[in-house]
Amino acid sequence: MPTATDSPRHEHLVIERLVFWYFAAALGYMLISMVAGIIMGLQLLSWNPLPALEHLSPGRWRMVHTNAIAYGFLANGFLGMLHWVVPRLSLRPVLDKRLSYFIFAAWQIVVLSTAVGLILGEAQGLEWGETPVWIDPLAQVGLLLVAFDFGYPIIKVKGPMYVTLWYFLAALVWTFLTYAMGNFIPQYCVSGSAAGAVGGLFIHDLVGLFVTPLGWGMMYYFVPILLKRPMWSHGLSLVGFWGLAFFYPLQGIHHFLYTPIPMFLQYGAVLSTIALEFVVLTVIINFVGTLRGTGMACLSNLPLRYFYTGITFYFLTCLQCALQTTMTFQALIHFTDWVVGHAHMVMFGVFSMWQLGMMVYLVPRLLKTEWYSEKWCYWHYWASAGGLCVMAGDLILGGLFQGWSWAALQPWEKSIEVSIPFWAVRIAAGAVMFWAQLLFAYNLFKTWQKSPLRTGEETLPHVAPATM
Amino acid sequence: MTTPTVIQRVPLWTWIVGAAVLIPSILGFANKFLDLMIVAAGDEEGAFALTPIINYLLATAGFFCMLMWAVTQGAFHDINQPSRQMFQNELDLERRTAESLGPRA
Repeated sequence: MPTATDSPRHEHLVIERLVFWYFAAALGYMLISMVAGIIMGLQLLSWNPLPALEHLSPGRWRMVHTNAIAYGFLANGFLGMLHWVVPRLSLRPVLDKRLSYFIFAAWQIVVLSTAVGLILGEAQGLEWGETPVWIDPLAQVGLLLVAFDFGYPIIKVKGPMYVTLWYFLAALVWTFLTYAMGNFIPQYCVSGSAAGAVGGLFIHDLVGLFVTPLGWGMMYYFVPILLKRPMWSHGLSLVGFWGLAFFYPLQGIHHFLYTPIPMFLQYGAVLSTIALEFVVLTVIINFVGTLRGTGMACLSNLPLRYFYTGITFYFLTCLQCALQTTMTFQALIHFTDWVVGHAHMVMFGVFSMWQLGMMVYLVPRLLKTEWYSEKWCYWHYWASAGGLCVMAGDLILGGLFQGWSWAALQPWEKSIEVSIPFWAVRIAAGAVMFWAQLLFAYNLFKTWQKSPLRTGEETLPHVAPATM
Repeated sequence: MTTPTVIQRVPLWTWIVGAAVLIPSILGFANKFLDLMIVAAGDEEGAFALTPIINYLLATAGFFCMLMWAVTQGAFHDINQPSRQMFQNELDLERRTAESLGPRA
């Protein structure tokens, strides 16, 4: 691990402007995704506001909703975060700053082209990989460039690496391979159940090998800094990393229980899912152990509050995962809204909360000024976390009612009738979450407006790490 | 003057726990690997199961090699050192940034 004493300064390492651009783009896509989600929610209540427009039909909006959150919000947020964290940890800048600007522009073109392709009905037949086939090669090259840009400073590190860099290095390789596996193998190489099996691997590996390592790597960096103490145990951190590396890749088949895929593969996925829960437990213990002796820091410090809320949701989702992959439980919840609730808890409750918390921490440092309204940041936290609790709880409960309805062999219409109240609550919770993100985006805009970077003040103040 | 090398003995319970975890795991893996061989050698329809298995083995083999590389590089000798070093580096970067930018607004 290098030392900072004879290394470049922060301003030579981090392209702060680019980090901010990524965050602004991420929030833009988050709002687009949530508009699409709300329209889809209204459709379920038979209140589709765009009934006569084929290009804006619910099936297409739904894909815009999922793709905008994965490739628009999360990917942009993570790329911004990587531009801050990797150079500071490795004490080396990225491979080439011009390449970084090019990647930013290229990635926005990829995401916008995906949205246009989906609305024009050119989706690829792969869940979470609906990116039109003509965009796939571009996205693949983009991911390769990302791997070069951030991989270079990481592999230059001499000596033992901090766990965050292990996670990031793995994520750079995994994301490239996962994208290739999901978007090319079922499209061009295999078909039928084999393609289904690969599709299952892709869905889960996208969460586990792209989003998870970047998310946890981010937590292992920001939490010790905000708590002003190293992680409780770096050894346990490494157990978490290597456990993820060996157990995660086999899990994807658990999306296809009770299918023609051979039972030994299905049981393998069930076992590796349950085994991973033990690994997750070590990670949670480590983060709780790091809190020991800090009093109520995880409540009084707002970014930490976002982080630990996400960690709690992560534990809950993994526990849920270990339960719902058992064959008995799966028989009840398969195809129900339970799965939708679970997915929202993962993507919003965990990874979006982490990214939003990171933005709450970094934006004042990037813009060299405090937030325009700290109170609005608190409102954002409560509306986001509270809205998600209601939405996820509502969908999970509604999913159980749907499952019991089907198990009782009631007519399909009955399960719809049962679902209507749950879908109504879901749209109300979603509206609260959407309002929170609008408030956050407006707060960011007003903060940018008062930034000395924009007003052209000559002396820039140093904004210390957030403690609000 | 050279200091004598202290060889720490592995406690008995470590061996017992290790055996309790490894023996059933190895047996389970061997059993499932046999299943895989039977499927691979059997009818054509069952052989498609090889695709995800090969995917998994390729990914795992890569990370097993990386794990071995990390071991040979001494990544696990002083296991908490990278954590302490990272924390110290951050403090140094913060201090230098504060010095270069002046007092807080």
